[in-house]
Amino acid sequence: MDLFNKYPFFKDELVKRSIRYDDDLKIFLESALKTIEYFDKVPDETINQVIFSMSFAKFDKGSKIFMVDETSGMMQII
Amino acid sequence: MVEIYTTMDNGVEFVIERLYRGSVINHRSFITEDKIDVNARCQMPVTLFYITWDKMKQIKDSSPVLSRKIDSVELKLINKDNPIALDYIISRDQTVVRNDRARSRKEQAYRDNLTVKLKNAIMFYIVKTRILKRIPNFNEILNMAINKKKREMHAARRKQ
Repeated sequence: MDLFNKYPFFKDELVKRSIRYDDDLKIFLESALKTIEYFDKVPDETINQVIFSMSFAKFDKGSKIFMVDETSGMMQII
Repeated sequence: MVEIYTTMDNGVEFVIERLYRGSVINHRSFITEDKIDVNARCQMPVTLFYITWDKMKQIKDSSPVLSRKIDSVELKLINKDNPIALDYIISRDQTVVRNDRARSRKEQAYRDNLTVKLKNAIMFYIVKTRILKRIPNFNEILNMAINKKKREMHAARRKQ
């Protein structure tokens, strides 16, 4: 954070480069997110922030992801 | 593959939808932290990418465009009686229809959206019927009796 405060252009450049970064996973998550209506016409920078804030979890065959009456606290992409 | 299913009153599990790679789950209900009306289980080993509402809220607060869009979704959902029983976006490859003609991606997405809407409408009534048919527990019966008595006393006082 100190580095970003001292050299603001460095932060801008990192953001720009992360938008251009295009590995398969990022492209996949980006295309899945863009199917959601409220991400329509949202700047790439914001969508990038969402992508890089995502975590992942692995589930075995037969395991439950959620059940009736649970509160939905997260959005998931398969 | 993830199966979205519900258990019917006779105990039979009814599969509502099978979701494949690229499908999105709970994209609206997590905004209002809604109660889930169905179950989801993996039919094969699955990797899920997820974002919590707390993280999304931080991003939303830093982006006016996203904030405006999420607020309008929230406004549509709030104060409605169980508006979304099913909350997912189907992702599938283009379906080949008659005469080997493949649907365009846009047309397929449109049709998938309509499928979810139809199933959601049906699920809404299933959930509603379940609530109406549910046998009340002892506390609920007691509360109903107390409230009934209160109403009767209130009405009697009005007559005097």
